[in-house]
Amino acid sequence: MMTVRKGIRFYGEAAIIAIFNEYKQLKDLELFGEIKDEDLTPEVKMNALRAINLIKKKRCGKVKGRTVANGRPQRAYVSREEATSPTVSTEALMTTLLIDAYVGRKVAIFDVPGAYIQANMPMDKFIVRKIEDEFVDIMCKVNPQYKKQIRNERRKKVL
Amino acid sequence: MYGCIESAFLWYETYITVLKEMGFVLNAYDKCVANANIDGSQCTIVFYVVDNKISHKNEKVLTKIINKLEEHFGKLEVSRGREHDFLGMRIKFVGNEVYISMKDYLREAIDMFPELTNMKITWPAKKDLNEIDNKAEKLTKNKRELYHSIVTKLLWVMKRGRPDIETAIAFLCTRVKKPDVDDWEKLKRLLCSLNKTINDVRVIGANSMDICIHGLTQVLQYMTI
Repeated sequence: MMTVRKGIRFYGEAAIIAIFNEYKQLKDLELFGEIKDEDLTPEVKMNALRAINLIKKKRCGKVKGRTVANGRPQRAYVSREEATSPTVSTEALMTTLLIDAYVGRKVAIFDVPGAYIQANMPMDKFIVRKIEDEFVDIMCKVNPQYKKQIRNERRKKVL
Repeated sequence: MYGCIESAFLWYETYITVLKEMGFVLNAYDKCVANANIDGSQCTIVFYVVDNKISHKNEKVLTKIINKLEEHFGKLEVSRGREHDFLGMRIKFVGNEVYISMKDYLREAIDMFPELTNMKITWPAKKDLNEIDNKAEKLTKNKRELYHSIVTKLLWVMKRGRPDIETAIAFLCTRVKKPDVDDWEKLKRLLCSLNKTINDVRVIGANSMDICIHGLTQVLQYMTI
C-alpha cells in the first residue's frame, strides 16, 4: 500500500487508471451528495474528513486504487461499540474446514468488492468529506457537475 | 465508506441482515459463522469482514446462495474447487484432510530480514529462548521497526499455518517494544529454520468426528476434541 504519488512513480499509468476507476466506482454507487459551501458552518468544515488516496498491488498482480476517509477525528465522537465489528475466530474457521473435509462438502471462497461503500448508512448520519489537489480534478472528470463547488483553501483546490 | 471508523460495524450489520433474510442463523458462539439448512444439509458461511467461505454438499446450492448475494452486493469474486486462497492461506482439500500452506507469507517475512544466513537450523528456538540479558544492546529504530513488523507477520502465520513456531513467537512478541541484539539473533534463528522448512504445510483432518489429526507434514499428532 502506498500513496498515489508514489504509486504513479512505481506503476505509471496503471496507478492513474486504478485511482480513476476508484472514483468512478464511488460515483456509480451514488455515494456522494453535494453540499454547498455556504451551507457549511466553520465547525463542520473543520471536522470534515480528509480523503486519503492509496494504491495497492494485489497478490494477483492487479494494481488497485483505494480512496479512504481519514477517520481519526471521529474517535472523539464515535463510541467504541459503534466502531468495532467481529471477525471469524481462527478456531471456528479451522473447525469448519475440518467438517467440510470430513463431510465432503463443496467449498467456495468469495469476497465482496467495495463492501464498505455498500454498507447501509443510517438516514440521520452523513459525513462531510474533503477532497484536495489533483484528486479534485479526477472527481470533476468523473462527475463534471462538481466543478462549480471547487473552492480554494490555503492555496489548495478543495471540493 | 472506507476509512470511517463505523464502516466495519455498518458493513457487518448490513451483511448479517441480508444473511438472516436468506434464512441463515448466526452461530451462538461465533457471530461470523452463519448456518442454514438447505435441501436437508447444512450450509455454512464464515466471514472475515469481506472475505467469505461458503460450504454445502451440493455445488448447486452454493451457486444459488452466491447468486442471491450478488443481487444485493453486485458481482462477487468467487473461487471454487479443491484449492483456495483465503486470509493469506493456501487451502487445499485432499480426501478428508485439509492442507494449509502460508508459503508466500513466510517468503515475504524471510525476504524482509537483511541478515539471513544459510545455517542448517531445523528447530525454531534454542533452550535459552526465554532468557533475557538486561545489559544487551538495544536495537536501532530501523531494526526495531523491522523486528516488530516481521514478528507481527509471523504471529499471523503461526495462528493459522505454522503452529510449530508458537513457542518462539510467544516470546518474541513480548519483546517488540524494546528488542535487543539477543532478540534479533533469536528472530534470525527462527527465520533460518522457517527458510529450511518453508514447504511444510499444516494438515488438519478427521477420521471420525471424535478424533482430529493436526500437525505438519513432517509430524502428525493425534488430539481428541
